[in-house]
Amino acid sequence: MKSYGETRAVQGVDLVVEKGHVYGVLGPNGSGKSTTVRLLLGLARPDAGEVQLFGESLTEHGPELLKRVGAVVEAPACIPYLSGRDNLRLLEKYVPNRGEAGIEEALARVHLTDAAHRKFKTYSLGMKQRLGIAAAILHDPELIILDEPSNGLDPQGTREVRELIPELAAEGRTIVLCSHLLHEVEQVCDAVAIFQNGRVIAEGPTAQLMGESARLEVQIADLEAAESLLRKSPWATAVSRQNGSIFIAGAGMQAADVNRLLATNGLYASVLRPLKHSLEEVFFELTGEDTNA
Amino acid sequence: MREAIASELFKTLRRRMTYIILGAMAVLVTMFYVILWLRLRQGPDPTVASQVRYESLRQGMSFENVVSYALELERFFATLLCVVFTATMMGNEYDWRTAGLVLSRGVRRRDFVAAKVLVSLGFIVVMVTFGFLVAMACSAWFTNLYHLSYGTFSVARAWNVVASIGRTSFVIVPLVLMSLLFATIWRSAGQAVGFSLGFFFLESIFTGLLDTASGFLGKIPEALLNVNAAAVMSANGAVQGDTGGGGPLGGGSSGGPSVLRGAAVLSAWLVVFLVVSFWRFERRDVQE
Repeated sequence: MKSYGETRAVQGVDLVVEKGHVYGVLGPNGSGKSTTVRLLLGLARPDAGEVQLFGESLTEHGPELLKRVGAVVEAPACIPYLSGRDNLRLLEKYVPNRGEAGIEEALARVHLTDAAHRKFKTYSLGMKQRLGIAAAILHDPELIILDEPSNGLDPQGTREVRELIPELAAEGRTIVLCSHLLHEVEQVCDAVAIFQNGRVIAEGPTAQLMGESARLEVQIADLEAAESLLRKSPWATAVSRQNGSIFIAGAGMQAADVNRLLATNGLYASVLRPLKHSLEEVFFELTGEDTNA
Repeated sequence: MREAIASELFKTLRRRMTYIILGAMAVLVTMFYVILWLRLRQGPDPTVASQVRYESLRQGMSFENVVSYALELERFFATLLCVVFTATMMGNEYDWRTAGLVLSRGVRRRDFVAAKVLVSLGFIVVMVTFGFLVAMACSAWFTNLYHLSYGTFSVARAWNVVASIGRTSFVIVPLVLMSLLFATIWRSAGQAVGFSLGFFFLESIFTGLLDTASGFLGKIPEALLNVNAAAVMSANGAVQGDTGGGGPLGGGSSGGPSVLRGAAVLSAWLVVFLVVSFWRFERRDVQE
């Protein structure tokens, strides 16, 4: 548990992240996701309870566990008077790994080799963000925590980061991605946790979270008969009619099952279209946030 | 720990502020000698007191007295500059959030602070030695110009120089560690510099007021930094021919605590600042 004054920032959070997966952490501002990241990285101390990472206590084995983690927390943090390369050299001095070869590889990976001699303070926000990612991957960590890695990046940079994340996961690393870009999370994350008021209110594979509230649109000649039949089906939790179409909502519902049910009763659909919710819709539905805000 | 020290040195040697501070020391010491030289060029006033003071200044500038004179001068300048150096060294890590970056990679918090303490202590010695070399150069020039005494060169004198540099460095340490402590508590370089230098200047004013007090109030200055630092500095020796100026900045110890007691009180403060700094940093949130 972690509180700031009267506000309880995080309480009883338990995230299970599969090795080699990309795990998205979503939540409105102040929902506790950044505090959770800081607790995981040992940057904030819990008021009560214990933080565990890789199943082990961070209090007891903090330095050993954290050597297996790379992170970009909020904006990238580097020494402004050092060059990009010297910033990585500094980190390599703190936690020695592969020396100059590792530094050059990390710089190349984020396309910063040509600007590596320039001082960090002269970098654009996008370059700073990329150097932050290079710093996070420098010591070859098993777990990479990226808090808003696309902040300040232009569309090209955002795309590069989006492509880099699955690449890192493909190397067997586990990625935890905190992002406000729901579309980005939907594209790259295998699983998602949604935070609100310091707790996880929903967690699971991305496809499952989006599919749990899946809908089907059915266009058919005999609307009355089809609606009556679908209301009696085991998987439909809600059936409504609108503009000459029937909309069915239900968990685990498959279009083929609906089609089979209609056909065996002599009803033939002219249109049968799955209407999946986007992650954005799921997010706003769960958190109750105003989509126009 | 070795890695943390190497990293801290890497940062320090590439930091422009390090060289600016050393340059500032050279400029301040040189300026002081130049101002004294300009004053001496005017010659003494006809009054006896002025002639005594004039002679005292002349003697202070001589190479023979460079240890006691220059190091007393340096104590003041080096304290100001080393407080800025250490407070920014710690405070900037919060401002730039680089403390979080380093600690999140598994660097132990105590190693992180210990490296800063060791580099700060090393910097104090470098600063005092460098300032002393500048003072020696200025003093040698004036000694040659005014045909003053160089004194005798001996091994004992060389050791006295080393010991005096050590004593001067030592009296600066408590205030430097105070700045480290407040940079750790407030997570800010500016506030730590302000508080530490404020204390440095205000302490002498308030203890000056308490000098004439009796009983408990009169004892307060002896438990603080300035009086005890002056006691330790008195072991550097008095300026030959000085009749009570008490060094270039009019300080000096007359009737204060002994050198040993002064060193003990300063050591106690030093330990307190150090222990609280480590304790606070170990337990605090590095980023909120």
